[in-house]
Amino acid sequence: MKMIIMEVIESLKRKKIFSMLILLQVFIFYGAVTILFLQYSSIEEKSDQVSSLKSMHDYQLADSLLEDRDMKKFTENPEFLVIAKDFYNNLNKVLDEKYIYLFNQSIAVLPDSKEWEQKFLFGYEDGRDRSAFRMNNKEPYYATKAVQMNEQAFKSYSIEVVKGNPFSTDDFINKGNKEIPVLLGSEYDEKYQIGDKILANYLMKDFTLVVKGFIRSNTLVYNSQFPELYLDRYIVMPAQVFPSPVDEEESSFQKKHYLQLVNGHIFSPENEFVVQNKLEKVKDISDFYKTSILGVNKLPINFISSTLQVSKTWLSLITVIVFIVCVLSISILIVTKLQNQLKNISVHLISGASMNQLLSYYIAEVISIILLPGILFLIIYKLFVDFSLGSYALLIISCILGMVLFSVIPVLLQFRKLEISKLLKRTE
Amino acid sequence: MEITTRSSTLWVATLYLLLGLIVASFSYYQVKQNELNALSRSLYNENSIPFIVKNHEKPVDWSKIDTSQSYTIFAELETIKVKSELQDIRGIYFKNDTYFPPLVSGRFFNHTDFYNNKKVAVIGKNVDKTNVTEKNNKYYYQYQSENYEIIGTMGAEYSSKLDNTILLNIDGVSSESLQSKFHVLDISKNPITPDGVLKFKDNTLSVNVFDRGDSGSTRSLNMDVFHLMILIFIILILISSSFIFTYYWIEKKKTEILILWQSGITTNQIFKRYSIRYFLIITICYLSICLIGYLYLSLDISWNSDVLFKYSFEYLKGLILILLSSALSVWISFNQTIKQITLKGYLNK
Repeated sequence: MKMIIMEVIESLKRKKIFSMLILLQVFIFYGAVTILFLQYSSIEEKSDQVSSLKSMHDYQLADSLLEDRDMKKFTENPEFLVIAKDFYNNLNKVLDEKYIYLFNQSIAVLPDSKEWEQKFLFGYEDGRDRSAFRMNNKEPYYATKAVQMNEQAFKSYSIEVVKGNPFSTDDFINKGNKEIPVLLGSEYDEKYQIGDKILANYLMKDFTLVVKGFIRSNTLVYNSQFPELYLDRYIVMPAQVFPSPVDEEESSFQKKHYLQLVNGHIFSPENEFVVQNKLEKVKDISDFYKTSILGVNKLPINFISSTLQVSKTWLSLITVIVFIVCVLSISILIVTKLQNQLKNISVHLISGASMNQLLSYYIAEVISIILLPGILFLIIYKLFVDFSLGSYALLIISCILGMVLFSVIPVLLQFRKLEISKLLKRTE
Repeated sequence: MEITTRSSTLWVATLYLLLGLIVASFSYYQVKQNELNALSRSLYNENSIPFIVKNHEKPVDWSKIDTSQSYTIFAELETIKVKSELQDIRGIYFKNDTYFPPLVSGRFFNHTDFYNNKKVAVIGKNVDKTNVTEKNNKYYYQYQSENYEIIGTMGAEYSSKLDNTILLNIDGVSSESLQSKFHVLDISKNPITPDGVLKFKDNTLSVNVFDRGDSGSTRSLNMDVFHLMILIFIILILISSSFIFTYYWIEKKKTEILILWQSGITTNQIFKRYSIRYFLIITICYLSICLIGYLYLSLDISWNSDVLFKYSFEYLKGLILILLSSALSVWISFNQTIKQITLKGYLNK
């Protein structure tokens, strides 16, 4: 064994440029395969998220409470709050479809001494000019971009949190009625730390926002109302369920709040008739009748899925060709190298080596060129990336097998045909 | 399976064919990526500058921006909802050059369509026909009771925002409808001063610039970083593979070179002969791949002269890269071989 290793080292040293070239090519090959793998699997991950939503329609719900004079009376009824809250809970839990609440109600923020950039202000992207204002003897308040989402929305959009923690189920239920946990878009990153508190006024009620985490940059959410909404400049709030109101002011706040919450969207692959039926059932058990499906829309994510499709096709083609080129070039190099060493065989044979020993020496050389860098890459990958390691290991192993196959088999065949006696008689 | 000299040339040819295939498919991938990006950004480029014109009574002549660069200006007139699809109506003007979107039929705007008392439109392939009328075999798009002649229909083979976009020549749109609308300027170097002044040839225009952030499919998929890394690795593979193949080829030709040298032919002549042969092999292989690439392209519906130019440019870059690295390696390996076969070198080995 020791002798084989020494032979391999000596042979690698003997033809330095050749050995270096092979090693370089092997390294580049593994690197390219790694990058292509990472790109492909990130696309794969995205397309899993997208494809679950792609086939869905967006059914927008709209209440008819405020237009109707009789119904306005109904909303002033103290019972109304209980019914609306019940309806919202049933939409989330009883309705056998995805109920997605995503809305961009702005929130007035009192940033204290912090400078508040224009880009965080509500309506900035639409060219609306907004200035600071005074409210309840406090200033300066800024109308700031915010989105509210229910738990199903948060899950369906697969929102990733890079720092801190994502919302837990408890965050969607407000017990103390004073604080609201929030996630901030990535452009808030340098402004706040996790655990920071932000004074704010939401729908005319004072709250303290507690920063729970930061959302990964370029996170996209959408429904038929907001076809392309990036969260980077938004405060993301959980759509909350509050305890029963104690006074008139609180009750007025909650009315506004729940009236928004019940005007969400249903994402479903079913047709309108089926969704309508399911909705009617929920309306029945909640005693809430004045709402209906406003319209059916396709989800605006076609452009993402077509990008994914095109990228996937071409990346896999490129990967296959890179694989073929590299395996061929590495095999050629190794075969050439081994051919050049044929003359050494005779010397070894004269010195009493058996054919099997020589064969194992060749195989050891091939393995040390192909296998060791492969293992090195696996270790580096495990240390620095560690993302779906199993499939990566499988890929690297198949690369190794491919290369070994194409470089060892030609040599083996040649070994079979080799007429050593001719070689020894110098009649090659 | 001994590798002979002839089969070595065959090997090299095969490998260069494959290298050509890498370049071709990567260029296709790149051009497609750019197209997807531009389309999902509704034709804006990634550093487009959105702004609003501050109270300005006279209509602005967008052809007179004081710059030598080519630029495109969009005016976001309206987004309307027709049969559950959102449609963007935009004014457009461009000087010299712009991004040409894939077309299904007809043509895109050209310089004769602007400031020539024309009213023309290019519409997406999904645009609802309720606002389209026909007169004397010509189709017109109606916007604010004005008729714009439809000169082309845009759309790629996949669905995109472009399918629901309507572009009108900006000078054909009345200045009232342009009032206080968002404008977007696509230009490589921003000509607007920090205090919001855009210089024209005859006067100036004060504008409010906004930072709307990037959008489009690369943004939502975070693909930029990977893209760059893949590019680097592809280049590395091109260089290292062509190096290896060249080295290998010259190795195989060693005996031939030795004989030539011993028959008294100068090394320069041998070098010339072999490198010409080698580059001929490479170029033929590469060009045949390019030919296949063009054939494939001609099957694509979004094929036009602009796309053709982009591909040719990518192919040319690939060819230069392969030729350069091969030239370097031919030179290095040839010198090595010569050193080995001339007496001095040979004795040392």
